[in-house]
Formats: sequence, C-alpha cells, structure tokens
Amino acid sequence: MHMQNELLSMPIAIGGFVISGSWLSYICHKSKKAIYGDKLPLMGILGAFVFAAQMINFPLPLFPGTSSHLIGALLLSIVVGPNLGAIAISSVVIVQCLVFQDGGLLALGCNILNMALVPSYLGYWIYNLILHNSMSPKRLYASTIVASIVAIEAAAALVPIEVSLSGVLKVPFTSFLLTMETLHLITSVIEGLITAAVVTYILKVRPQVINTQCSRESSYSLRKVFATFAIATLIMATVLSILASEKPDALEWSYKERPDQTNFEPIVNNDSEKIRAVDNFESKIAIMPDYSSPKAKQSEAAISNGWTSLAGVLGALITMGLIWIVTTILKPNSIRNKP
Amino acid sequence: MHHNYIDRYSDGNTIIHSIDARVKILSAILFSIVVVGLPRYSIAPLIWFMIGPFTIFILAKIPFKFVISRIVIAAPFIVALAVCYSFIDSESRQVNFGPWQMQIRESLLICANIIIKFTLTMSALTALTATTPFSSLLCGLEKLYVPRLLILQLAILYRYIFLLIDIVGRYLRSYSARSLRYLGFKREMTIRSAMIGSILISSLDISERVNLAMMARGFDGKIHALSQEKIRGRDFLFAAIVCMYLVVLKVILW
Repeated sequence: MHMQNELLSMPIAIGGFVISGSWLSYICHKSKKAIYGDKLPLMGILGAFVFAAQMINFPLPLFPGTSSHLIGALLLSIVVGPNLGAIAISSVVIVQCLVFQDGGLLALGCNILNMALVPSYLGYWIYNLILHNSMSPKRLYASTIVASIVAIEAAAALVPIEVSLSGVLKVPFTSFLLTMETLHLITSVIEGLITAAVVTYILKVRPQVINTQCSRESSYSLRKVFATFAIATLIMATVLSILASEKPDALEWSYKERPDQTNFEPIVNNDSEKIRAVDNFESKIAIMPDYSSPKAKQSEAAISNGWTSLAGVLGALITMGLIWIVTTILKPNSIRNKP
Repeated sequence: MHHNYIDRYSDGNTIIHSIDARVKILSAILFSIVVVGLPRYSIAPLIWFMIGPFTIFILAKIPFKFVISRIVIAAPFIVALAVCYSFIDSESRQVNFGPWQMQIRESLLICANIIIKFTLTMSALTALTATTPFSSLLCGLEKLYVPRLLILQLAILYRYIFLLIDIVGRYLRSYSARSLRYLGFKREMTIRSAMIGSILISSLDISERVNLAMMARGFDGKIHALSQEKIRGRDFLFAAIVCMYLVVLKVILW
C-alpha cells in the first residue's frame, strides 16, 4: 500500500504532510507527559517490534505458496492505545521510506495518513465499539476482525482517492477502488485473525500488558480528533486555493503540455499575449519533444524531432559512460595515493 | 541479521559521504519535486535526470547491483499500477525515436513515464540513504526542525530493529528445527501468533529495562552530541551544483 511519489501531485502531497503532521504533533503534544514519563523507549521498541513481527510469515490456506504477515497498526493500538500506537506505526512508515525505500519521500505524508493514523484510530474505535468491555473470546475475535477489515479497507480506499484527487488517475476511479478493496479484503481478514490470536495469547500469558488503564487514559474524545481533522482540511483547502490562484493550473503538466499540443484545451482561459509568447518560446526551445500529434505524421518536423530525441538519449547515455570511464581511470590513482 | 545489511555503504569516506546530511536531504526532496512535476508524456528527456544520481553513485562508490536491488524491491506496487494503466484504451500517438516511428497508445506512454519517474526518485532516495549513516540522517532531520520526540523514536527504533530481528530469527530457527511438516492453517496460525505475542511481551520488557537505564543515567529528553554539524564550503558547492543541474535541465529540456 506504500504510495510512490509519482502517484501524487504536489498540492495533494503537501496536503498529506499538513494533515498527518498536524495530527501527529497533536498526539505527541497530548501524550507528551506519558511519553517523557516512562514510555519513551517503549514506542521506539514497539516500532522495531513491528519490523521483527513482519518477518514471521503466515502461510495462506487457500493460496498455496503465498503467505501474509502482520501489519501491526491494530495490534499496537489495542495493546498501548491508539495515540502511542499511531506514533509507533508512523515511525515505522518513516523508517520504511528512508531505509527500505518503501514509498516515496514526497508521498510520506499521505503514507503516514493512510497506513498509520487512519487504521490506528478507526480500528481502535471499532474494536472498542464492538468489544464493549466484555472479553469473551468470540467477541474478541469478532471485534478484532471487523475492526481490521474496516481499518484496512478505509486505508486502501484512501489510496485511490488521493491518486484521483491528484489528477494522475487514468483508470476509472471506481474500478481502481474496487481492485484495491478486493485485494485488501483478504489481507484484512488475515490481519484480524492474527491480531485476535496474538491478543488472546497475551491475555493468557500476561493479561496486565493489555493495559486497560493505558487505553482509558488515552480515551481521547473523538470530537477533538475530528475537529483537528476538520481544521487541517480547512488549512489544506486554503493552501490549495492559494496555490491554484497563483498558478492557473497548479498541476504543472496541464500547463506544460500546451506548447507541443496544438489542439490542447487550456483548463483556464488565459488569453494574454505574454503567455502565448512564452508558450511559443517554450515550444521552440523544447529540444527533445519525443512525441507529436498523429496529424503531423509525415511532416519533416516530426521526423527531426525523432532524431533529436534519439540524440538526446544517446547523449545522456554517453555522458554517463564518460563519467564512468573518467572515474575508473581516476580510481587506480586514488588507490595508489593511499599509504 | 547483521547491522551491515541495511546501510552497508553509508560509512564510506568519499566526498559524497562527507557532505552535510541537511544538504543531501533537501537536494533529494528538490530532485523528487522537479521530477514529479515533469510532463506526463515525455520519456526520452527523463534520462538526463538519471545523470545526477548516477554521478553520485559513482563518486560514492556504491555498486549498481545494490542500487538496482533496492529499486526492484520497492517496485511491485507501482509496476502493478502502471501495468493497469497500459490496458486502458486511449488514442495512439506518433512516437519518433531516431529512425524508428511507432504508433504507441497514450496509456503506454504514461505507463513508461511513471516507471521511469519512479526509478529516478527511488535512485535519488537511494543515493541519499546509501551515503548517509542513519544517525546523521536523523541529526540532519532534527536540524531541519522535525520534532525531537519523533527523532528520538526513530533513533530508538533503529537501534532495536536488529536486536528484535535477531530474536525473531532465533524463534524461527528453533521452530523450523522442531516442526517437520505443515500442521494445518489453524495450528500454524496459533503457533505463529504465540511467537508474535511473546516477542511483543519481550519487547515491552526490553523497553521497561531501557527506560530504567535511561532514567538512571539522567536522561532528560535530549541527546547531547559532541559534533556540532556545520555547513561548510563543500556543502554549499554541492547544493549549488544540484540546483544548477536541475535548473539547467528544466530550462533546456522544457
């Protein structure tokens, strides 16, 4: 579910950063006392635990040869409460991005939102809603599985929403959404089963770990969370509108496509002469347009464009080759210079 | 699991390694922003953007095998999506590439464009993380005003990943030494869940011990480091080169 940079436009990526950043800092601020009291190493180690737990594969019964693993957001929010759980999972997502290169740097905000914040809170809320303070095994299993289905499906639904808001989506939105949901349905059921089994085990072995006190203490008012969310959305909307008014079409490509595409309909009608001139200038200095409209099939311009783009690619390859050669020539010297 | 596995090449002593982490982080972000903002149908010009990360890999002596494996590991989701794109019907475009002329569907062009952009930004990220030790990456992030609480979390997380993964390795080894066959879904799941549960309990124990140890040593929420990272001339030079490179490419190609 890790999104890459290419799936998002800048405003959405920034919006993701704003929302998840403000949400995270709100939680950090709220649970500062508990964290600096005695929970500081706890969350880091829980993050490390998620990595370790993901090494244990669960073979899937219906699909021989495939296996699934724990995701962990729901488990952590059940064990230590959603606030601390969300912080731990967020740090996991950040490390996955920086160290393991899962998900892009620009998409990090949206990824934290999708995979850490929304599942932790939503899952915990539904888990508590169904469990309702009774700890009978059946109820535990039912609540965990439902919670994990809702949480993971919600997270999976956020991906197509963000992508389509970015304007990158060319697939019909509904079909993308359906694909994501069906793919994640299996994962979410398995995740619920694993989480329930782990929670049952912990209840059997060391029941005091599932800290009712901890979860009571962090029984945040849902209203406040929604309020923060709403404010963040408002801020994002303002930022978006500013961006939109500064650049007629904040999605850069819709502007950039114009010079090479004669029949391109501008999204915003801006008929000033200056812009036209800039467009023309850009289309003139665009050295390597590697496509042209079908109408210009046999025109010489199209063919020469083809040659320039070939030359461009070759040039880039040659440059890289030269860099390599130069460094390999320099290498023995640098070794020789060493004592 | 050996510590080396994750940042194997990050403690080298080339010129790229010695550049300040802040400058590298900001350069990687800038590079990603520029690449993501490029037009969606162009393919050939994108290869010019590969020169930057390529040069860094060469200068930092990072083997390409390592880089490629990193990119391939991260690829499945984006490749699946891009392939989904390529099945959509859309008007075809005339593509001229040297002596060859092809009619290629627009969706295929977008598909290729997405994959190339992905490779570019991933190699920038790899160039950042493979040449910067995680601790200085965190130091740089802290200097860039990322909340200290989060930085502490990440530092502790990174410290204990290896420890816990070792524990899991032991569990898995002893499990595979004792189990001879597949025991059925339910039984397997109970066993594995019990493993996860006991790892969770032991990590809670570890965290309690660590907390006591930190308190005993007078930890006050701040890491006092000896090195005062300062931005030097070569950092400015690197930042200037990156900016120049991106601006020049952006202006010349589009």
